[in-house]
Amino acid sequence: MAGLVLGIEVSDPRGPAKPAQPDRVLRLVAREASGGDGSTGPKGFTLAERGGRAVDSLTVPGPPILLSKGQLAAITVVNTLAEPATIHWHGMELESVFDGVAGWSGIGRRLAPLIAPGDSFTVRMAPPRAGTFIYHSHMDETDQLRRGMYGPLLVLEPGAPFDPERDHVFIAALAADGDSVTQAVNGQVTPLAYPVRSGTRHRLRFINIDPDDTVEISLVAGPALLRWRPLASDGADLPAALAVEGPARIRLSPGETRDVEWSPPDSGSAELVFRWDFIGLPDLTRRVPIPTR
Amino acid sequence: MVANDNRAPAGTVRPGRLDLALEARIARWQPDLDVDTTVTVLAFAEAGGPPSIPGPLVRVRAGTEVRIRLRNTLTDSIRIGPPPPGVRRPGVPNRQFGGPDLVVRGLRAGTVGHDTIRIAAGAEREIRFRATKPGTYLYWGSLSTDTLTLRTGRDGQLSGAIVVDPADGEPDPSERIFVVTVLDLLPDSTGPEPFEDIFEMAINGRSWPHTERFAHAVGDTVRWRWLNGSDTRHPMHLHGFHFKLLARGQGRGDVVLPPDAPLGVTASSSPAGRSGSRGPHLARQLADALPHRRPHHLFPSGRRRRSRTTPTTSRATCLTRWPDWCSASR
Repeated sequence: MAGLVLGIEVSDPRGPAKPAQPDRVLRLVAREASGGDGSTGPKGFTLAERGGRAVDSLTVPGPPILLSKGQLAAITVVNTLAEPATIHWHGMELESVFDGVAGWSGIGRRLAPLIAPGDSFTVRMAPPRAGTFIYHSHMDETDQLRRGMYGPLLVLEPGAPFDPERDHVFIAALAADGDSVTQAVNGQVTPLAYPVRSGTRHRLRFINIDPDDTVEISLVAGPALLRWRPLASDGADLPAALAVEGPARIRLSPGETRDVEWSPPDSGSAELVFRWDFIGLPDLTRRVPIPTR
Repeated sequence: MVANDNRAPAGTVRPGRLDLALEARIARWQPDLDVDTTVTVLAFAEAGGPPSIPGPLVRVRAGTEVRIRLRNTLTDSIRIGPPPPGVRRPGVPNRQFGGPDLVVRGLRAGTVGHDTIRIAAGAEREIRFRATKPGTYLYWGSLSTDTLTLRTGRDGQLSGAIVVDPADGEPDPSERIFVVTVLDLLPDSTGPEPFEDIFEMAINGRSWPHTERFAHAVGDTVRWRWLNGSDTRHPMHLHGFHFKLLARGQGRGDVVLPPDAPLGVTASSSPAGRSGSRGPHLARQLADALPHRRPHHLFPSGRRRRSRTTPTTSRATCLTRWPDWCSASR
């Protein structure tokens, strides 16, 4: 950390919380893939529930971590990288020692560790609200973020199922482009088509984890700007007065999330347009085709 | 030079009136205390006192008549850049030298439309206005007529806060005010030495880990005002906390947000480059927060982060080429 950072120490006269048995036990493994030709490949995560097996291949972004509001989860972060790692749970209200700022988060001598290669650290959280959050590397972010060490952390209402047919995550982030860096959506510099079912309402969750730049996100059909209904911002539901249908365009600054609701037409195709406007440079645009089926 | 924590208002207060004498001066700044860079910058000072980053806090109740005498102590143009061609982004002018005229904007707390005053080298001007609009305002100076987005040189620390409190009621004594500033001196390999490369971002004149530390208890409510005196956006993120955004500064006054506005994790500041205040007020109910230390940080935005490097020019070279300037420089 450098520059624009303040430290806050919050004391609690009630003392530390008593440990409780977790409702969920997860294992999040930080991995690095081979570049195939001997070059460095993406870094990312695989995820497994207690008793389950993690898939062998990592994805960029990392797999969605699905939690329920109020449910205590224990997530063991296993570092198989050749370098230290630490994970920040962005937007989550949790005990500071688990918050992923190595050597700083925590209290007294109980500080968040830097997870050494081959080591692990178990994080505990009971999310107090349902919403869209982020997990991401908080170590050597310039390299680890652009190589894929981030993913969605989705908290659902108790008992609510996650329906991947109607619940979709789009993450704007940096991506390695040879020796350079560019912008990507869901890890793709040239995003693939993302078909959605017509005749139903969809929840679109947008995340900007680009550490530097604000992105404008629009939903269009040809030249026409479509309409959607904002639902939540930064993991907090909007009040009814703000959750009203409007033009399908938002600006997301680094670290922000937005949830919107959209009902696609019966036929045709829409497009999500992610646009970065850099001062003095041409705009950079990534387009995600959204055909309806 | 002192780091201004914005707790003590400047000037002399008498019933219904504030008198303040401000100066713009050359000063030596150590954003990392004595462990790293010492860099020569321009800073505001209250007459008779040390220069400070950010500039002196102006804080009055609505209805107060404010009289500010502002003196430009520069006597000659100074090197404030350099933004070299080829390194700097296209469209950004090459601004190696600035002054000696001083341009100050935003000093009249949103009471006039085009709030710009120009002060010649060595000259002094007085402005008078009645503070009428409660809110948070940024005042900032420059040695050119550039917008705030282009002011990243040695004049980039000429920023300060103005707070106009409502005429009735007492301000929250625990409220804190923060001003973000940036200094970005790029190496100019095409120009004459010195080839300096200094990049500093600061909150109330200090860069992490030398920024102020805060201690609160579970249940406290903390109210903050943030002003962006830098060249770009700085989304603000609180680790482990949500916060409530109360109002946004718009230069001509604050826009107060509805009480049921959503909680935030990250607050996007107003884009730099617009004159006036850019100060979201923040309050955070910590009732349900867990104890422990948490960092609060702001992402620099709109630029790639760069590491700070040490200057590469010898003091002897600098003194040879610019004796007046370097005698006051690092």
